Amino acid sequence: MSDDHLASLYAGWTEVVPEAFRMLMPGAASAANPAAPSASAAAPGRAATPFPVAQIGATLGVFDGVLTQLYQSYLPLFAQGKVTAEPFEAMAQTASKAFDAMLLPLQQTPVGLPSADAWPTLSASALPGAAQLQLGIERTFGGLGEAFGLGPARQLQEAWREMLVASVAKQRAQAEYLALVAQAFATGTTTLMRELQAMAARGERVESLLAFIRMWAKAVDAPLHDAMQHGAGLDATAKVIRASTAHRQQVQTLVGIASTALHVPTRDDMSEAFREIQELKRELRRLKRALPAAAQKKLVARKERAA
Amino acid sequence: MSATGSRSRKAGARAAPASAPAAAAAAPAAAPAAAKPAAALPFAITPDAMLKELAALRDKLAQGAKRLGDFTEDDLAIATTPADEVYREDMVRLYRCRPTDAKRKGIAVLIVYALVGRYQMIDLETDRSFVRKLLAEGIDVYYLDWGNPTQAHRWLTIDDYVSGYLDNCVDVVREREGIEQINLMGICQGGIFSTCYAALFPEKVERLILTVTPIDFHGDIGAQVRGSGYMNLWARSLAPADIDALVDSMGNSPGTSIGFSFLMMNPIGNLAKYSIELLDILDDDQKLLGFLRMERWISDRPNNPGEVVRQWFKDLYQGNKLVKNELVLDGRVVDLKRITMPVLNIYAEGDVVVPNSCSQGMQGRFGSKDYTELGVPGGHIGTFVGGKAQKILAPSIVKWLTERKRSRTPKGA
Repeated sequence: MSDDHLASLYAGWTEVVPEAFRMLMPGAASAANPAAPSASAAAPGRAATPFPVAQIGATLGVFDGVLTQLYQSYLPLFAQGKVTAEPFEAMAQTASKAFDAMLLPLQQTPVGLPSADAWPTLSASALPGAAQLQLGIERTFGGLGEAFGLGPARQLQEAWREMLVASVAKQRAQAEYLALVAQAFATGTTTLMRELQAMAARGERVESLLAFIRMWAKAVDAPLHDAMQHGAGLDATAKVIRASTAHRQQVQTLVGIASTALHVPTRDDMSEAFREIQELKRELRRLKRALPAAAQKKLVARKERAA
Repeated sequence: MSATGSRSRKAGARAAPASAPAAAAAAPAAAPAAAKPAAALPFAITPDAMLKELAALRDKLAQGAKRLGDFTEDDLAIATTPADEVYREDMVRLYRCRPTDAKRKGIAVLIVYALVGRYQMIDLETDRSFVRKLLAEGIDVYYLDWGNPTQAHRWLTIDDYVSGYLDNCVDVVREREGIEQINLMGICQGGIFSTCYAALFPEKVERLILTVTPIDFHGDIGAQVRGSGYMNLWARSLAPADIDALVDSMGNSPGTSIGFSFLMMNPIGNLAKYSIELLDILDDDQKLLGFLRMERWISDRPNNPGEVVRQWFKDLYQGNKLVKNELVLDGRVVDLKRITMPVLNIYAEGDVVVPNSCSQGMQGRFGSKDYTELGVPGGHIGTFVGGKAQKILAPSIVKWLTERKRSRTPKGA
């Protein structure tokens, strides 16, 4: 397979690395963007390297940036001398609240979108004067447009509206999922604080920030699994899948209308052709099975020779 | 399938005894209950020490990046055991490994891998190759590469794989080896295909070997283990209509989506793998090479035909029809009682992709009177590539096959 195909998984996942570690950054640093990859750990030149050297090199670069930012964000805290659980608990709460805040606007139904009447209003907000213009076009060319086969324009507009509604629903489902993730991270951080206090009581100490980062990763692992394997987590996962599917269907509808209008074979046309080919192959298999054994042998030998 | 990397097992902090003053300051008991000042955490980190640690880590990362750049294509090559293509149909290829100098036992095995990953996992590295271990024991090895389905293959069903591609490949092996029945070994999803095949075509299978294969897809219900069996849970949390909509809108399930779903089964473990755990292997060439080769395999996920996904989710994950003898392929019921040949069922003791409860205890399910179950250390993939498992898996299979070896019945005799 092509390197682009293979690399796409890395592109998606390595973006998650700085996002996750940001949950561990105290104070203002958590709001900042993750540090850019440093030159010192830059990926080797992609063209000259075998897969996945460039991808892992880039991952090292991302992690270098994350570490630098993490260490810098903890410097003021450790400079104070005594470190308590308060900043960490505040950090966990901040992360949860940030996701709750993100959810708020998405909880409101986008009333303006599904309604055809509201559409000119929405258009007007994007392009001043557009509502009046659109009304004029509708009055003048509406019926004529339908008569001359320009109906797809109306269908497209309707499908576009539906797609936007589906897009908002998808974002809402994703935000609900992320809120659960943030809550699990907060639970993990609280557990870690308890562990640290128990360590303090036993007279043990943490001597390196890297060790602390490892402890944190271990602490958030269990609550994340607990959240995602049970009730709300599974519901949220299903909801994301459902909403993403609905959105994809709306996009396909949109493309289908445009393809039909332009006399381009649609996805359904192609799919139907593939289905018929597969049916014919099955029929061939059934016929082959019905052949006497000797004839079957010849068929296999012929296929083998062809290979 | 997954091989999503080891979970973060590092304890994190080295528990060092605190000095007396530090311990006294850190002990919660030292704080008066009434005023309740925030208890100090047991950090013994100074800004200077932090900066030194950061500099050392960045240096290690830079050295690691440089080391990465020195690796060549040959260094990272996987599946290097010499093999010849002996049959092809559509995107499917059948290979026969070239025998080594080892004395041949007169036993041929066809290995059937899953659709969700590539067959190279059975031959990942020269010194961690399941295939090479079989060859070294004198076994003749055939294996299937299912290829990468395109949208043109979206209507392929499990039956097309079992009664079509697999049956044709079995016939080729029978012809080449001049035998009536073959030894069939299935891995994970390939184990399901092999099970279905053995039930539908028992006359062509001499012995059946299943590895990390979920036979009872509801075995995990009531036996939930943290971090295990995500695919079972996700599939059951969807409504049948959701699955239909998903398949209808996607056609094939893209390989990258499948890859991402495996990563999501262990999100923190996989974040650690590309960050804090990667740090630990940067100065060890052998470990780094092993990591890169595994990554090469993990990221190469083929697309899965939509209709296979639909059957897999609705009939197996949701309906659990295989173990109930209710699975119907092309109008024929897959009856496990028709599997009367010897069966070796191997499960991975640390498998979180296929929970042990889904693959263990299948004795009464098959018609076979010769049923053996074997637990092997390691996870779903570790069973095939892990150091401990390598010493057990191939030798156990060869021993089991050899003990049951009967004189070859020439084809047509």
